[in-house]
Amino acid sequence: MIPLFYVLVVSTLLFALGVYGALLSTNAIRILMSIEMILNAVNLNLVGFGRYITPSDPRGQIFAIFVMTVAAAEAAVGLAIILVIARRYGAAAIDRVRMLKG
Amino acid sequence: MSYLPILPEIVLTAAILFLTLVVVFYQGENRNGVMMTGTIFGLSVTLLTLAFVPPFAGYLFSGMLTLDGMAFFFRWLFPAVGLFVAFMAREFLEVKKAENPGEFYVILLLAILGMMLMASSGDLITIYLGLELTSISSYILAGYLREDPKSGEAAIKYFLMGALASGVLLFGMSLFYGLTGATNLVSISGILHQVGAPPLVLAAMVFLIIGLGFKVAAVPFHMWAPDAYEGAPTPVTAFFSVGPKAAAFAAIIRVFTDGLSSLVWEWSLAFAVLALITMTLGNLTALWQKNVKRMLAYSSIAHAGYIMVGLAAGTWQGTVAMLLYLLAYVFTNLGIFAVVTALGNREGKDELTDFTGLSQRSPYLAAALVVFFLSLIGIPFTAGFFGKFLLFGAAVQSGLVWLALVMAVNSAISVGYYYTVVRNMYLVAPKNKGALPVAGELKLVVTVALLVTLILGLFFEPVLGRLVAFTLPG
Amino acid sequence: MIEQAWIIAIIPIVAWLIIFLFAKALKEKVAYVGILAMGISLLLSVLTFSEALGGTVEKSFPWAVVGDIKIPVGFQVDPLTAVMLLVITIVSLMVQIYSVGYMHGDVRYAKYYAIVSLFSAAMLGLVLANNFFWLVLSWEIMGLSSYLLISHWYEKPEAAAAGMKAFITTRIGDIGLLLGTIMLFVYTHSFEFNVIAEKIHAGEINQGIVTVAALLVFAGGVGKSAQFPLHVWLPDAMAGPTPGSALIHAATMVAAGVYLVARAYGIFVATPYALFWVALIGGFTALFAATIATVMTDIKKVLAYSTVSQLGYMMLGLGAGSYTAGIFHLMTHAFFKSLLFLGSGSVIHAVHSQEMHEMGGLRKKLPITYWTFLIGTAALAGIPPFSGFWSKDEILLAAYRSPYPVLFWMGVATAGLTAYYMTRAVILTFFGQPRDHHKYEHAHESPPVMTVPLVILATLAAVSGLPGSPFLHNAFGEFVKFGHGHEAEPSSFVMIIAISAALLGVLAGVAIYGYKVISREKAIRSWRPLYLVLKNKYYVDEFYMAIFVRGTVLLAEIVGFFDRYIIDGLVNLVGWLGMQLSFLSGLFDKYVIDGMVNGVAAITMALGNSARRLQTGFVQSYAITLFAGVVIGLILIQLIGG
Repeated sequence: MIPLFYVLVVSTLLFALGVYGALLSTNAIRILMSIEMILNAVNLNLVGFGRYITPSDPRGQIFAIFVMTVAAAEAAVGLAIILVIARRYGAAAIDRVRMLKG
Repeated sequence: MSYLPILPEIVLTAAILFLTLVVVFYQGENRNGVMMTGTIFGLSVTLLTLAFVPPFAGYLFSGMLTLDGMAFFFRWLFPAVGLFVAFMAREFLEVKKAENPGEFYVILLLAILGMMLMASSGDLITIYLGLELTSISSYILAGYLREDPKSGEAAIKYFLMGALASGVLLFGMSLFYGLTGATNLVSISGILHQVGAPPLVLAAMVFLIIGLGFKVAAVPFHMWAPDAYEGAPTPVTAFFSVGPKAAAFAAIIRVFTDGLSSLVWEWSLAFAVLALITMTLGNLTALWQKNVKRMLAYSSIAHAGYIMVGLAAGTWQGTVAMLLYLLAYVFTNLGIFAVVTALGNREGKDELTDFTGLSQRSPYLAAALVVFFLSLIGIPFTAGFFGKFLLFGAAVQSGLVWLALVMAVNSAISVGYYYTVVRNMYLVAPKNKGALPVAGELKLVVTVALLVTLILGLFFEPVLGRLVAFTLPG
Repeated sequence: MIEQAWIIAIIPIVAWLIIFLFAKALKEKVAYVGILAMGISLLLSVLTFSEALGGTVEKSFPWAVVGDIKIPVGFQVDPLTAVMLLVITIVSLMVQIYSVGYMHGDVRYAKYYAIVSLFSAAMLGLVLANNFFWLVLSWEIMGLSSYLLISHWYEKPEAAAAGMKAFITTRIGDIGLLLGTIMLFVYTHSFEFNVIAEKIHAGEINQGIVTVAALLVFAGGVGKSAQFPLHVWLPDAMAGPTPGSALIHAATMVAAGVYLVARAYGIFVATPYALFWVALIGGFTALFAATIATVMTDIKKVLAYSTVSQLGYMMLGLGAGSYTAGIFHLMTHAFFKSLLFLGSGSVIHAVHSQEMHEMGGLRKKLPITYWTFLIGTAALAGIPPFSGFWSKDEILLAAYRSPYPVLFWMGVATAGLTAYYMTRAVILTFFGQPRDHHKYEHAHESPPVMTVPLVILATLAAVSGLPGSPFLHNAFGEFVKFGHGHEAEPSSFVMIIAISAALLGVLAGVAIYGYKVISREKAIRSWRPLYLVLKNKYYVDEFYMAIFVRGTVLLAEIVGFFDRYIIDGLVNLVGWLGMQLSFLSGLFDKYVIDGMVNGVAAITMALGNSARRLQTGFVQSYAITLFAGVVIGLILIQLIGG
């Protein structure tokens, strides 16, 4: 069986990749996808821990399913908001949205 | 298993479902007013059922919910906040010509349901669910005025930052699950007491502090707040500044005093530092603001800093002080925003200069605003005084005299920006002359907030007694 | 009556409510509400006083009990409280009667009476409170009414500014008081003065902690009683209506700091170090303010600095170990200083100016004002047998017996200066030739409603010292005392020195301003640097301006600098990092995923991207802060937790 360590390495990499994408892309949809990547890192963590640390207790897997569900709702709302912004500024220009500052 | 203890939540959910149907199928006159009435009715029934619910029901659903005194306090507070915001919203939505005003109320109720869930959760999963229900509803509320570019900007910034912070929080939660094999706060607490504080546990704790610190707008994770507050519709700003913030504090108390009680030394130190930075930066930045909503955003950041002093104390006295301060702060701030809404509905810009001559245009609102400011500063015989006093006492008791001093200095600084508004109201000639027309429900909200502020200032003892009974250890 | 003494404080609150609610209907009749209420309070105070001669009363109930935190509500009437009740009600009543004439026709007449009533209630509550909690509450309300009164004529910018200044300056002291209260509470688990004093007396509390707590409490007194270095607000507070100044900024509220030290004397005596500081600050303030008063030309400013100086005197008395002397002087001072303020108000009312250079020769025009003012001056200057002489003598005696002779000589020098500047003020105002004929012609004596209070107060200023004199066997000292009471033997040496100092001061004043033996102009010319220093009040305001105001501006600039350079720098750095990473990502895009895209274009875009990112309001700079927080938090927690 694959050791837990490998799972954690992948999830950490996913997390880092998500942060990287969220910080450095100007396209709102890409940022949204990066955030999803962070959540997937979390899911991987949860499922991995659930499998290796508490094999008899499906708590981690249940948590992961909740996270997925919430992420779907979040994405739906997020896309709607991005749509509003995109009509005014275009989807790829989150850096132009800075009327509020100071 | 009896479902009676969560009857209020069931009632609220039923109200949400029913009102959703009303939004879809009711096509008659005055939909805004009908929805407001329905919302108020739903919230009132929720509050009423609370009276028939045992306040100390203990752990429910295999520990998913903790219905203790503190939960009871917040489950009572949040629907009350909802009532205030619903009253504030009607005229605002009308004036701003919002499309589909009815949906606003449904989403508001969803956020309140999430807040109630957060306050009574006993498990990381329920905390996460409550938090997300509140947050996702909040994103929609922030961007509710689709035609207003500021509102859209507030929504996207709040959404992106909020989703990122949720990710950070979740990552911390997953680490805790991995380290302890549990998601239940009580179990986590038991296991942590055995393992002590290895570096990985501390690292996971940092993720939790930052994720939740973001939700209360602690500096340096506050940057979303001024933008979201300024851009969001004013009643929503009022809601943000008290509702999700108080709920996040409830979650913080849950996670840290229930779950991480063995790490109290580490997290109280972290919160002491955060409190110091948060109140100082919040107050200093507020001094330079021109927009009243932005100023109040920084003010509410500063107040989050004060409240964190209770966490820094790390004792049950600190928790009591936090709850009392929250209570005072919530109603005072709602009163302030009711005045801001009333003025904004007519002037539309929310600039500080809009307040000029308000003492002549509406003496009642001006006087009420002064009382609210006095309460926020912490002058005796207003609600804010006892909150500050207890926070002070809790800090000194825990040996944090320096923090108490910083708090006192900050409270003196805050006079500066509140005074600007008072000066504009009383000493500067009005830009627009003539009496300010104020909607009846806004007057009602201001009056109730004023009464709560004054009554809490005079007769806080019964409330304090209850709070102590709620939070006493064991 | 003594069992229900708390009613005395409630009556003015009722008056305040009535005035507040019915201001529009009552118009100028609100004055009668205030006067009636204060009259009843005075009557009850007299009754209470007579009963207090028989014994003290203390009642206390728990108001809020929270675990081990008990907040009491309670009052006590001991000799100190009984005397204070009398002083406050008498002065307040006189001031309110006088104001009927003085404030006639004022735009905010009702507001003025409302504030005075509220203030009286707070001050009475303050002296009745038997615990720190209610003392602090009353203290704050008193402060609030004081700020309101100072900026009563808020159309005048200096009045609005003075209110703000008073607020900020006294707040510094108030923070000390609040911290001291909480500290004492944490260590003794009580707010009540008696319980705290007992626990300290029993040696339950560490000496160092008691000292710190006592000094913190004293800080409150320094702010409220305008002691150096927080004295700057009081002279500016003269921008308020004169009768209000007489009540609040001369006779009563400013004495609250002295009262506070007296009330907490049980804490102060437990640590000699604290008392020494009280005496030193008091003595220094007394001398310091007296020197400034010698060059002021605004009659109210002279009296204001004189008040600062005399309050220092009281602190000196308390600090030198004589509880009786401090309180005795507080009482006599309340009478003669309110008299002097009301007298100056009468003069201002007549000539519509506060500048003494525009007065002169007014004694024929304002005979009653003149005579009463003269009595007040004699009392303040310490001429026997007027009241000030006896109380000042007590303080000098205490200072003489204390281990620090310097305190005594500070007191003597102040006494001489006091006599000098008051003589100067009387001569400039009432003697000589009128310097402004237009104003002189229009001057007329004030109406009886103003002069009757002057006469009453003048009587009190003349005789109120007698209870503390040997003629009445030191009755005051036997009544108001701390512990075993007044023991110091009268010293003829002290008395002779005190009288000589006073006479010397009067002579100097007469010589310079009356007979012009010494030319004032010549003196100013030859002592110009000293004159300038005094004229500018030792540049304390300028110093604070430089330190605090500019300091704040500097702080703001530092914050701004931080914002501009450090934060922006960080954002820049992140931007640069982003650019580098984007470069890599661009390469990645170019060669692996999207080989069609021109690499140079990608880099240029990334560059522009980074440049735009420097703007605040950009959501990802927020995100960068968030993750920077994560990294820093992780590092810090490993450092402190490891």
